[in-house]
Amino acid sequence: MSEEKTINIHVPVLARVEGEGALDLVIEDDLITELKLRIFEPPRFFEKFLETREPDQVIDMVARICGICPVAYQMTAVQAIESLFGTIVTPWISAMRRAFYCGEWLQSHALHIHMLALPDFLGFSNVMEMATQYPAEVRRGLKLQALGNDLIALFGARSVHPVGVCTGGFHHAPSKNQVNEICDRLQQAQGEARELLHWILALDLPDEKQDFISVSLQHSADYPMDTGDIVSDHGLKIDAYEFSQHFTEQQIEHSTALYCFLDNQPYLVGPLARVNLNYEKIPGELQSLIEKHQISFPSKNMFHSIIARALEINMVIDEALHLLADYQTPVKSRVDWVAQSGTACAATEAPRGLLWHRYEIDNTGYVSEAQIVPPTSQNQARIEQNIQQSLHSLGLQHSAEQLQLHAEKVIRNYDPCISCATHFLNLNITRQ
Amino acid sequence: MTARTTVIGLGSYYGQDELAWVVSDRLIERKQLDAIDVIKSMPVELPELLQKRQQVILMDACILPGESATIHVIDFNDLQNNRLALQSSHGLGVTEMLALCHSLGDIPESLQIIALTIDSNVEISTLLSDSYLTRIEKTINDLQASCPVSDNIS
Repeated sequence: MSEEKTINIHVPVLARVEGEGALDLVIEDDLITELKLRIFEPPRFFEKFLETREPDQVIDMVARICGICPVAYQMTAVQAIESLFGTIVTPWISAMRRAFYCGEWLQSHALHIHMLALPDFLGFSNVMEMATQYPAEVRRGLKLQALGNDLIALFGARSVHPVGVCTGGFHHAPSKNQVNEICDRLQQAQGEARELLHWILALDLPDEKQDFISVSLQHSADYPMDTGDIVSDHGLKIDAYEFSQHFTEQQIEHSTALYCFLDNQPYLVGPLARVNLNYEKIPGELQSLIEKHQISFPSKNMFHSIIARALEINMVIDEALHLLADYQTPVKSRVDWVAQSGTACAATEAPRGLLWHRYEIDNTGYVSEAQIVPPTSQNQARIEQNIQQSLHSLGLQHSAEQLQLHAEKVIRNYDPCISCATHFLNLNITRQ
Repeated sequence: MTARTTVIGLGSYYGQDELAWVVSDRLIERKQLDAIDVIKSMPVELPELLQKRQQVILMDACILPGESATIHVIDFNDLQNNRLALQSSHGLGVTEMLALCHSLGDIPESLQIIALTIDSNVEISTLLSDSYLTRIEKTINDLQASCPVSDNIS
């Protein structure tokens, strides 16, 4: 006669994620009866703070939403505002904004791969432990992260909450010498990024396929970052102004962050979704490297996210170098603009995935209403779905410790950005 | 021969967390410290900065209830047990970054941390008196004098 069993896993604070979240999991008789990714950080009221602010104040304020991806918030806000105002920026401004954004992808991905995700795949509890076995790899990761930070600071004056962007362009253009110095480091980093990709491709990642919807931007010419249509692998193709017709945010009792659904379905945003939907935009040399390792995209293995990040690190280093080649300091680093009233929308690709902004701007040029849908809010429902599928795939007969570790690995694989990293406080496991 | 010491001021752009940066600037201006290099930095840069240095003093702002403008010295080897070390305001804290440096084998032979207490009700500018800076300089000189490292390095 089989013994009835209840496993109750309560992880009060998730480690190695950006911010404060928790996981509640109840398994009864080989069935998951409760699964809640609880985000309990208090509301931050940023959308309310933005009301009555003028455009350049909005651009500086949204950078404060996230310490890891402030550029994404700034780029999305400025593009929404310029879209409404009909501001046409120069090719120099477009190119330098993309180079600026490359810096953020580089630092964010390098941080996530080395500090947050790799310890899970290599069997360490944290990067400090990992560094004793892989010191050269950790140093390389820190160096790549530092280069990303410095690329952000080149245009933003500082890497955390930069202040260089304004409506119509940048407050200031970097000097040729500053750019040349960064280019020398980017050239050196190209080899290091290739080594990183080789290493990641050789990892023994879990082989677990799942069914999910990928959503990202898609652009006719470029790998998606700062512009493009919002597309899915289920046939969606819309512009940023149509977002609300398909995506809906809902409040769920156990989370202070809103859940976002695409036509009432969970969906994935982020590096894996981007690579899945834009694989043909990846340079042939990198595609060949992937294919040598018998890995193919689109991939339904969520753990291929770390490969997607390593790929994107290579792409942004190459692209930043290309964008900054033959750099000349412009006479003007911004164009004039005239405020218009109406609705301003834009979407860009933050390192963690699609980021959408909407602003209502009144006839004095000030914001009267703001709505921001960040990537982690969009991924929340998908993370819960992934944990459910992944634990079943692993086998619910495993010990509570093994199930917990696997669930945490699944969560960290998304690089969820709740706010600042924390540590486990304690763990309560109840068996009956 | 006196060892050359590197003093690293850790901080951020935000509010009073800037204290060690401002103090670093003032120490450079005052030119009262011999055989000292002063650098302004952030915790994430520590692995690179500590590499190949033998004698380092880190300065960082710290909150300790009821205290303001006090100066506390912590040896790296006692860091984990010190109540001050658990109160970093940096996203990736000094304690975590030093633990990473330790794993990488980058901890200098002598590493001391000077914690400068701040109070949210007191502006940085009001802290920066001559006597306050002199106290910090004396703390640095004392640490340098008691340092076991004897090779002249930079």
